[in-house]
Amino acid sequence: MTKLLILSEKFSRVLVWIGGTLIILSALLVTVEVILRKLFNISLGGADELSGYAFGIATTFGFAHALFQRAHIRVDAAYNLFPAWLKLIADFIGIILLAGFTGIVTVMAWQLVGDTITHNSHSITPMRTPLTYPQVPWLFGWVYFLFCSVLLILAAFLALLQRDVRRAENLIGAKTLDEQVEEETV
Amino acid sequence: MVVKPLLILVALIAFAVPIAASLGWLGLTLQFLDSPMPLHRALGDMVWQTGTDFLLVAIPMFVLLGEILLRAGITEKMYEGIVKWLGWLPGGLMHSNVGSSALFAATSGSSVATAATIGTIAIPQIEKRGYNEPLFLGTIAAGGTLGILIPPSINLILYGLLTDTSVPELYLAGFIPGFLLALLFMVTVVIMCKLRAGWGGETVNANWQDRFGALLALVPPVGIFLVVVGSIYAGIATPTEAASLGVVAAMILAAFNGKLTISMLRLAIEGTMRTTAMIMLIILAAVFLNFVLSVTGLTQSLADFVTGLGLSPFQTLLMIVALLIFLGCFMETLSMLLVTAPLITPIVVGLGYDAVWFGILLMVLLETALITPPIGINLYVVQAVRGKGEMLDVMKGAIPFVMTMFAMVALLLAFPQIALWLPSLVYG
Repeated sequence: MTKLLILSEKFSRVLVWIGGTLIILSALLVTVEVILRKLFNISLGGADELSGYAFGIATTFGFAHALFQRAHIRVDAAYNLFPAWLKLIADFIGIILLAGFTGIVTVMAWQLVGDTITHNSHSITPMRTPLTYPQVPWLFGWVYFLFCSVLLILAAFLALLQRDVRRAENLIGAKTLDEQVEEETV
Repeated sequence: MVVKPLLILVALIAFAVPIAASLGWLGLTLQFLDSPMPLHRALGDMVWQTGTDFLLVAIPMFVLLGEILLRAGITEKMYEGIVKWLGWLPGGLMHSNVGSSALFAATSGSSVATAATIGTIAIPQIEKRGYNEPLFLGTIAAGGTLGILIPPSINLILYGLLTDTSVPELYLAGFIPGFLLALLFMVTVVIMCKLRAGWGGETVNANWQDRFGALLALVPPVGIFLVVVGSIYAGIATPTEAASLGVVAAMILAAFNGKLTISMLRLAIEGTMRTTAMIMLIILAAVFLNFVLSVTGLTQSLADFVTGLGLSPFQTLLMIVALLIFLGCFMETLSMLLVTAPLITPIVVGLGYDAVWFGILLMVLLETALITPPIGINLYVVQAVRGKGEMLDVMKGAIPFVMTMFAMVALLLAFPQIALWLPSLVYG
């Protein structure tokens, strides 16, 4: 279990680097497009569409990493006043609801991509991009996010069975502010 | 009809369910309860369309821009430069805190990053130069909030998306209130230092030669600001394109500083992707909820409910402002924006107010939320960077600036032109 968790975390980081690289490439592409358009009146065309796809893929590729980093925002005004056992219950409910919502979105996204593949859909733009190409990796991001959420729930539950409350907290608890600040000031 | 969803939402959020899941489940619950149609079938398509929307590509771009400036040490140099220009005022470095926050805000948009960065540089100076500690910490917490209002602000893009308002117009409207608020913060510092002897600490007197020398450190952030904002209003670029230009410009600057390394980019990318993924998951859920709310007619019934109270438009507006200030004491700003903008804006516009103007008013209220106790994220950030003493010091120090923000809200209510004059020049 621990091994699988570490491996999944590592892989989520790889996805983040791929996603980030896509964003940087988009920035370069869009910049070239703007400069060419302004100075030479030439348009590459499609820079906006391509960077939209890059952004969509990068976003879903980032979900799992944000999950492992416990970066998904929770309002902790009341939570901080809870006793430890209630916090733990809130943590479990929180991540189960998150995984549940992700699950529903993933199923809907799966259907969308399924339709795209069966109908061989193209974008309604001059580029007529075959939508399968951007949608399949985008869907993969959702599936992986769902996988990691379920994995975290299981791991936290196992930790609880072994009476290792601290480990469960480390996996699914809310992030302390010190941890947040540390990230911003490295 | 209106009370039930609000209760569900409050319960989910109060129980610390992640905001994205809270909004998403509220949407799903409402459609099962109130809608004969399976609205969630539209979810897949909606998530794809919103998730690849070119307007939203601006989000990772602006976050990345801020991350690069931060990690290339450009922000730190900027602070030192601003000290030479503003340090002579009564209150010394406190003005540099506000000034650098405003300038940093003008290039990126993260309030936590602004407060953390400026805090790290500035806090060691408190003892060295004998400033009043609470007030000094207050300037950092308050200065950090400016990023929400001063363009290019990510929050204004989100408001534009959720309420169908033009982002360039919102940006234009944000200029004067944003810089006015920064100015008011500085006036607040001067007043406090005049009232209480010994709060002002040492001033920093630089000669003109130093000052002009320091301008060199201000060239990068001001240059990027001009590239980003200038290209939008010269009609060369859309907000997203401008943000991309900014990212490329920041990378070139970092390269000149010898800081464009793989390890720097890796850190910048991880920070950017974490923030983007977190924001986008909430946005996707909010867009879905927004759709369910309007299809099931809840947005309308909420508006009817409010009009049914029989208050005058201005009284209603005041009530909304009070509600937002109250919410701001407990909620984090991004969630607050995404929860309230789609619900409240239609009501306000229905009362005859301008959506652009309300966007700016909402931003000032969100800024207030960042520094109102008990939950004001910037207060905690400043305290965490400081790493000693009482939380209460920071809260005390923030109070004068909360007052200043209330004054700003009153100004916007009394003189909507503060926000609307600049857009009216351009858009007529």
